[in-house]
Amino acid sequence: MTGIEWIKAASVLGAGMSVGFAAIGAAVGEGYTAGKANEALSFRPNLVGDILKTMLVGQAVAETAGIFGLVIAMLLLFSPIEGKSVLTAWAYMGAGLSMGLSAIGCGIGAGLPAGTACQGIGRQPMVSGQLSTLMLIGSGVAQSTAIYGFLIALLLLYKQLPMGMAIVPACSMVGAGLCMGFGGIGPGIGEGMAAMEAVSAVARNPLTVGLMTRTMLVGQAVSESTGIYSLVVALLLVLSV
Amino acid sequence: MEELGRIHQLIIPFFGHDLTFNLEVIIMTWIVISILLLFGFLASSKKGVIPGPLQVVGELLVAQLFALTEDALGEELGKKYAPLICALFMFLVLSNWIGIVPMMHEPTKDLNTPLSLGLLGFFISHYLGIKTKGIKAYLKAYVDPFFFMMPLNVIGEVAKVVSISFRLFGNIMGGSIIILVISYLVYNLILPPFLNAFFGVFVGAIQAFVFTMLTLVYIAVQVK
Amino acid sequence: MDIMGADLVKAFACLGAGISMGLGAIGPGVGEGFAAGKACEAIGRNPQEAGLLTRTMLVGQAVSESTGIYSLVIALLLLFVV
Repeated sequence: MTGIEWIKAASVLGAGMSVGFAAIGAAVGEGYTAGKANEALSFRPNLVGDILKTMLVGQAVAETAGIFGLVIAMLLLFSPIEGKSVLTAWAYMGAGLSMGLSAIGCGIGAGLPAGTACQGIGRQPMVSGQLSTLMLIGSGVAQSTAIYGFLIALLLLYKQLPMGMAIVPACSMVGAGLCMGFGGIGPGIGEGMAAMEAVSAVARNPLTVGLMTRTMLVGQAVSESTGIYSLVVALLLVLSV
Repeated sequence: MEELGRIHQLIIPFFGHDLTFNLEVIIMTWIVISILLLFGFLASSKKGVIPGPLQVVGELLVAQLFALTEDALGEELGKKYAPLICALFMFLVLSNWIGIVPMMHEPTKDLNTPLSLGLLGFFISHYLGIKTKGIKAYLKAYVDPFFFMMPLNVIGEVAKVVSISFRLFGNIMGGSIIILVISYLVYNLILPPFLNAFFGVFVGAIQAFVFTMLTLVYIAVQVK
Repeated sequence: MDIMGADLVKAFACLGAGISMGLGAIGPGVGEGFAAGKACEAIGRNPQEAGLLTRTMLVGQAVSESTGIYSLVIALLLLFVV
């Protein structure tokens, strides 16, 4: 095989991994939201408008991680490969791994508060506005590790690489992809769990909404720290090439 | 894109060693400090029963942070250490927000700033722990469940400094790189203001609050 | 393509740093999120104790983060020392 064919193969593989892994997380998150919305509707059939609206907004947020995966897959499939170094193949694999794996956690994490918000609206229809705002903030923050995965994927895609094959840059680019990819899973789920409990607490006791927003944001910021360490290590690996 | 990961450095030879200064960080830190001094001067110069706009902001910050500190450390120590917590929070918030202004860079984007602030918190908390509990009770906390746990306890204390500083550094640096890369890819159209609002204002404020809160909690753990 | 032994070691150190930090980040992320969630639930039950609960949450999270710190230290050692 020639270099061009290797790059082509790697771009196809990277695109598949990117959109495939990302779809797992987004689908699980959206399914959880829809399930909880159905559960809430069975108790309160007259609130169908509010619950359906919250469910759709929450699913749209959970879908964002999947859309990031799709964007990276498109960029991988349609980027020009003539005259590129063989190392590009490894960079493409790293980009697919980084985006795909990190989107798993964030899809699930964004789905958890959305489902609980649907349930909470069934319990307390009067505060549906506050519940959806809190849900949007929580699932938006839970997306941040997917954004870091997106960033590493973009850096790997558009990096100027030296010509010729060498094993150290190749391994460090795949390592950067694995690092940010796996590193995004845990914080995404964890931040989603924090947001889920905050939304359910507000649904139980709506007066605590300000206090709960503050506690949730502090807790999420601390849970994100391992994702940040992964970002630091991945950036060191990418920028050292 | 070419300026990614580049640091402007001033290297001065000093008796066979090289002293390295990150010029950008030093200048930006001075700018932040001078803005804070100016704010403090203007907010407190014309004190009145009917407060001016700057005095309201200053009073709000000081009252909230004093209440937070006294809640964590108790009445007496709270009064003493609240100015430190106030100064830390205001410095961090302004440092994280100053990157929104074009041509300005966040001093916290460089690991040296968060690390030195983390070390400051580390030394203050241990000093206070020895002072309030006495050296015997302080050392006893390290062999807490039984003697073999000592290495883990020591590593745990050092890990606090690493975690608190890397969290702030990584968030701010990651945010600024995301803004740079995505602005470059969309030719500075539409997206950059929203990215600046999220990563500059929102994340910056939250991380400043978390850093301050964690310093306070670490001090409170040592004191009690 | 000739691969020298030193290059191979360096390459696998890079790969190992990535895998170490990546997998090491999963557990603390989920665990700290669990702690934050339970703290939110507890504050919802008893808002008067919010200060105490937030401090306890932060201390617990700092302890559960230590394995993440170990991963970070190992990753940095692999990157800069090996």
